[in-house]
Amino acid sequence: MNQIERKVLELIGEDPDNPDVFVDTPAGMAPIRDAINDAVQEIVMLTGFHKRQCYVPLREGAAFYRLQLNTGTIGWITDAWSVTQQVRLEQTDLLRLSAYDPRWMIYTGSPEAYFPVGKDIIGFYPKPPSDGNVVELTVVEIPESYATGDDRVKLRDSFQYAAVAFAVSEYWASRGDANEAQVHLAKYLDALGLSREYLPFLPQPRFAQTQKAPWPQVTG
Amino acid sequence: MTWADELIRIRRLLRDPNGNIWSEAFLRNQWNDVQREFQNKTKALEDVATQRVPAVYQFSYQFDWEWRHLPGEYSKFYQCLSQFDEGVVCHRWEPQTISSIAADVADYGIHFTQPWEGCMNETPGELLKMKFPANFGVMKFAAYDEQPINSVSKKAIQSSDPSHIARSGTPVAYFPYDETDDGYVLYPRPVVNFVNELAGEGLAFYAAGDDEDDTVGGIAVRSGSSDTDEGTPVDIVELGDSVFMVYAVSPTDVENLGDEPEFPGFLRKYLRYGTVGRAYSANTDGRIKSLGDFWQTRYELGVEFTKRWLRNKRRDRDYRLITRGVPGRRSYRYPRLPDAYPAVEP
Repeated sequence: MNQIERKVLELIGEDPDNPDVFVDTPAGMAPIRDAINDAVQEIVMLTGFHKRQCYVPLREGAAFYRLQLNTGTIGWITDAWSVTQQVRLEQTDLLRLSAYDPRWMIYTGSPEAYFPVGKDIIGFYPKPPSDGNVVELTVVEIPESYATGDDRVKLRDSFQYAAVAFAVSEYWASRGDANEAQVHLAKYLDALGLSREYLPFLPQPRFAQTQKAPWPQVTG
Repeated sequence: MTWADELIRIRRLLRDPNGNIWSEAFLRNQWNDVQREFQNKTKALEDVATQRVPAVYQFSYQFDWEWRHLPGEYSKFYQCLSQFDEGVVCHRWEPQTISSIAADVADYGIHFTQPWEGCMNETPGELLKMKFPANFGVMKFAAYDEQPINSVSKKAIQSSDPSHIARSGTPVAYFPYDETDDGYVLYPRPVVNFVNELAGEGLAFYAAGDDEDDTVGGIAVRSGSSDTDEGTPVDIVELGDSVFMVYAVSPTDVENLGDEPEFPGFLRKYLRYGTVGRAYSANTDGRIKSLGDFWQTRYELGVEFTKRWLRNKRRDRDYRLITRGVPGRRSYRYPRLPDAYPAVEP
């Protein structure tokens, strides 16, 4: 059981050292662990704090490459560096290239730009004329789920509270308490600094308004 | 994670681990609906495919009633020839004969039951149909032999080119002919000769082991695949002499417990939220409005988060695409007089 899991258990009224329901086994901790994994992946997706470097060995005449990371999924590409040319590649897209020159797929040369396509494909313009060059990519990696309490949780310390709030919110929702779940969801957004942008999506609390007159009335 | 794994997690959120209230079929239908809606709202799934020309189909059939007798494990079927008067005809003069008309109309070329037959050094007398990939949604970019091709309508082609059926050349456009069948036609018809038989099944997006024959006009060739020994594994997508397309995916329905949903793992939680929200809102014994609303809200937040993620993917661009004719965003905080307004009284 890691530190984040302990905090979650404390907030939902469990004793982390002697848990009643969420015992420290893969099956016992699965609901909490799954929620924390979902939280970590969502936080990376929104903030991009977890990055990784990977290499694409270029092939002669091949413009498109499907990338697969061994330890997660590509969120997006933040930097592309041509190792041989020692230049940073500019990000572009298919619309711009086609407007610039409809024959852009035909040319070969040292890549000057890259463009992401779909969830895991990267294209280079122009396509490399020969084998030899390597492009060094910095990508935001959405980490794979951790499985045991000893595994590393790829989460910044400052976002731990957000992950805890996410898991507690999901716990209350799975217990049938929508109001409490919403309170913790709001805390989650607040911890990420996104409450101003996304809090309006949550249903606003309703206030009852009395129809009574605010001053005493003469009766009889 | 398969649909079975997702089902366990959905049932955990629904507090119905044994499926006493919501059956697997009910939740599966909701999941399929949610993933279609999610894709429509976000366009998060995109894919890339290369298709050889001519397209290769697994089976041909003539009449509609034949469809239900085609083997269910395949999906690439070609409705060949043309129907006329409860029959099927090859040539355009045949309807005249059936109608007891003595005159014979001149035809444009040969007819076939498989599109590749039209490319055996003959001029086809009908359109050479292609088929979009099975998970095709919306086209974003298409190219033939590394040159972009545009989407046009059949009306535009017929209006501008009386010889469009027989015309051949390098394709500059494509038009859909039947959206139910997910088919399209390249215009003009590419000059290719079908020189070798395919191994494998259906549309050979990434056919391996075919040999290119430069002397008679090559057909899309693809060999080699994952390069797992050099850093990041890469799967190289070849483009030459074939149709290359980038398209928004229409997610395939999950049908069995072992099916793997198409969405990446980190987006599937939103599909779970949407499914749970619909389950709680459905008119069943488990209906709880407050929980239905909560999970629906969580799903809608997920849609917004996904849109934000898609914006993040474009963050490294140094430019912004704008629609022609639409004025740019105004950043003035205060009203301002027109530029031509005289500064002083003349």
